[in-house]
Amino acid sequence: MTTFLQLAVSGIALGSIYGLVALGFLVIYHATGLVNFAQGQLLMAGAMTAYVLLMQLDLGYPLVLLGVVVVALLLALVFRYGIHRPMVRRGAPTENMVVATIAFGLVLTAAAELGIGNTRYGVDPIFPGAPIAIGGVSMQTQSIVITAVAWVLVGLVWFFFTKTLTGVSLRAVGLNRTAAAVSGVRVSRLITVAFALSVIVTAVGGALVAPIIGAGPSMGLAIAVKGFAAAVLGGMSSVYRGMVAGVAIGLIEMLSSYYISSAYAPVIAYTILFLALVLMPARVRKSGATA
Amino acid sequence: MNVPRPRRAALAALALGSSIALVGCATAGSSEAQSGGDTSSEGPVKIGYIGALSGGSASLGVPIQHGIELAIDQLNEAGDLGRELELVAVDDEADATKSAAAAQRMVTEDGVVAVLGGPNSGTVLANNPIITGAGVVQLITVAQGDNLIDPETPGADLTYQVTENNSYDVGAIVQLFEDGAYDAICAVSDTTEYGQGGIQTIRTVFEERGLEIATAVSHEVNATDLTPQVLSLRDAGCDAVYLFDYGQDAALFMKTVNQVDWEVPVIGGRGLNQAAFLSIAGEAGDGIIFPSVIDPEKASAQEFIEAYDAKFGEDDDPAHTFSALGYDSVMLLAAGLEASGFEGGEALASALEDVTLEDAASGKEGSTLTYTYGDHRAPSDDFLTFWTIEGGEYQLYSRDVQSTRP
Amino acid sequence: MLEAHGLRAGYGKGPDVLLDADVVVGTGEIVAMIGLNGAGKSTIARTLAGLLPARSGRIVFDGDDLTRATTDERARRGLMLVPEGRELCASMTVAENLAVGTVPLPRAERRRRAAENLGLVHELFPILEEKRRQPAGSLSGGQQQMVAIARALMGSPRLLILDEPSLGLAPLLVREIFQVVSRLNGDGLSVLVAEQNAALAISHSSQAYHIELGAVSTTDATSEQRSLLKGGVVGDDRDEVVALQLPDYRWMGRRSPEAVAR
Repeated sequence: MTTFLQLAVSGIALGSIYGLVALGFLVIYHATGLVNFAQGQLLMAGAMTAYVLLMQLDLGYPLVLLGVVVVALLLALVFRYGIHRPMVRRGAPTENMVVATIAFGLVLTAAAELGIGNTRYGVDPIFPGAPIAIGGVSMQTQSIVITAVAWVLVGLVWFFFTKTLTGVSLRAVGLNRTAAAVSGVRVSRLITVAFALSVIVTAVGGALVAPIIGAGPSMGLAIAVKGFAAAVLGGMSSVYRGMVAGVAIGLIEMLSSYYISSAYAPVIAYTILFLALVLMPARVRKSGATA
Repeated sequence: MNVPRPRRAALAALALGSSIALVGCATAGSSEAQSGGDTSSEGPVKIGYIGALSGGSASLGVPIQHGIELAIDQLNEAGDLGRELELVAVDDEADATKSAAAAQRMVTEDGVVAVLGGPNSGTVLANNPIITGAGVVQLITVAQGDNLIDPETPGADLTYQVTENNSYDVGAIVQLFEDGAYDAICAVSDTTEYGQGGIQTIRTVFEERGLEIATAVSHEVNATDLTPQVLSLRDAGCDAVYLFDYGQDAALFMKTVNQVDWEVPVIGGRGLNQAAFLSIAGEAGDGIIFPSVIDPEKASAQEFIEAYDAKFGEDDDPAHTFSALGYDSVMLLAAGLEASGFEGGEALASALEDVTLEDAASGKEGSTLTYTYGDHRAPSDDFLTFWTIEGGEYQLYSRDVQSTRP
Repeated sequence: MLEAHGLRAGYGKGPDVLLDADVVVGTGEIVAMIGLNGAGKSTIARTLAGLLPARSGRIVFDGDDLTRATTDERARRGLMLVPEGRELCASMTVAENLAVGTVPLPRAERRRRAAENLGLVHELFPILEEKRRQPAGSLSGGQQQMVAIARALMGSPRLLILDEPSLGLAPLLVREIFQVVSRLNGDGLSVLVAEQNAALAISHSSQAYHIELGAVSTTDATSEQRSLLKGGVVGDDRDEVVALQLPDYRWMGRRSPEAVAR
């Protein structure tokens, strides 16, 4: 039982990160219909920023998190005004834009390799100290922080999308751009808001996970694939369903790795993604987006 | 020690599997520079270094270069050689193609008398034919591939390995397990070909020594969580772990072992001497055991560490393993050059075959770095020590594990 | 209130569909655009709202040139379109759809005026209050049209452009919607309504444009329009409605089939 709980605790923390990445995917997808394949690299950018600010510049965590948000905001603006909007204005087809997101990700990776270095760097946790043990189950403080912050962020994003006029308007932009425009919603500006929100959430996810797995240019892909799986598994519809799906994937990964076989755990995780991709589209069409 | 044939094959396979980069298609070097570098008696003698100074292997390549620089500075300052040495360092980014191109430029344009090879076996395999093809001597500082010294290759006469090779390390690690008299030794690796091949080889070597791997688990490379793997091994009753990982995965494994409060000896590879590992693992790396070439009780090692830290700072290469090998490479080369009258090529090669370094920075007290005719692997028996990490700092674990030349 | 002159517009890279169309809506007026399906009524409505860029011509609203303004900017200035096909956010609730409509209100008084407007909307369409928590897509066509109009009203429009509000609705509902529009007009709202049901539209209008395909020379067209504007058509006059359907009131700027072929 202790072993099961131990695995569950790890799975929830890991899955919460997948959920955050899913959240990042969904926010841009809802606003623009674009699947952003640079999400993993944006997570990496958050982690690398945290590394530079915390370990190289010796700033405190409040400033580090502020810095991560600022860098995320800048990246979002570059992404939106440097790539996305010009392509939209030229009437670029969706597939070109998807390729552009992949290219943007590759550029971010190369920039991190050249600017910071191509290796994994350790990042101190927010609360250093021994793992906390409760009834035989031990947790790293950082895992607790990850889980808590991830769910708070999902809560905030949910609140934003359902309880604020800007959030509801942003959903309207994604659901029916004409409806939003004739209602006076500043469509272009709100799409920028969506990019900023998505990148900030993802980059904060990166900063959170860095103390556990380190920060490095190539860290994003594995997490992004599972985050994407979580978004699809959640029906590409709601932020909290993506989060729940993320946690489910994290749990399955941990439990199957222990109880079935550690060698097949990645296979199991990717099988879930394939199943999700094959089975989900019908449901996505039916349910539509509801926050 | 006499190594039975099958085991040698197994070790070679392990070494092959652990060559980090792919072997590039290097073209044979031009034979114009047959003299093998600068033999004029004017000005400084140029020594080349091709290694990864940026990218993932830079945490190995840069300390090597610093060790080289320290040695050259000391020699030039002392002035005993009669000639100044000058370093020409090129970054190959651990890329075989770039490494081959750098070698070509170095032997044709820079006129180096010898080239020091970097940390990656793959790049050395790519640049060695070009260097030796031009009649220039190469000393391999840190790359451990068993196949780097191969009498069958045309450049074998001009190629020297300073470091102990992979088989040497694995033999010492197996010795450590033997000494521990463990009941259930378990193994961890990633699911890549490198990791799985490594586990296979370890199994074979263990069998030959009458040991067995009780349980082996694997994980994705650059894993995000290793809780299931750690719990699997713990619940399987393992009392020692062979961690065939380095970098992030090794750090994460140790973090998890410490998190679930499992007291178990974990033994890893020499790559854990990188500052990068310490940076990721922090104090969570505590308890991991791995081979090193540094003996803190050896006077020459102490002198080297003191001088190195004074020049580059304590955090530059806290384990001093790779910098020491870079340093000793220059010392071996300098002895050879002195004997050959600063002539490169064949003259330097045959001079090196009589070189012995009794007071090298690397190696356990009593060991030597020695080249003899037909034996271009320098470390003698009992070259290795075992280290661990305590409170986020490198600490000596044991000087008593026997290590033998394969 | 709204003066648009010489409007040309078309779809994609296609030819002009609007040919120098002129539309004028005075303050407090209710003006109808009638004509057959495909005559260009929606094109005018869309161009006025900015959903379709004007290739030439000018759109002046309240003295400001809005020819290049985006749709959302026009909406925020009070020029509001209730688009053809309603364009609701189907998976959002009725209340959320209406909330989006409050975006044009000034931020400082948004809360108060949104509450006022919601009260008005619920009074006009009581069914929407009942269904406020339901997804808009689950409502009947007539109820959805009510949501679309209500959404526009939430933003306190000064000119409401209704594009085919009766499309696909039961006659009774259509009548109800037009009664509401009339009432809003009575409260001072200017309205431009594109409507296939000419009789109905004209019966509620103070003026009407008749838009249809036809090859009429430019000068001819201008004079036709002027005469139409001057004369106007006063609501509730059945005879005038019949008169409007005569070819005399022909068109406002639809490119002739020959011109398209060229």
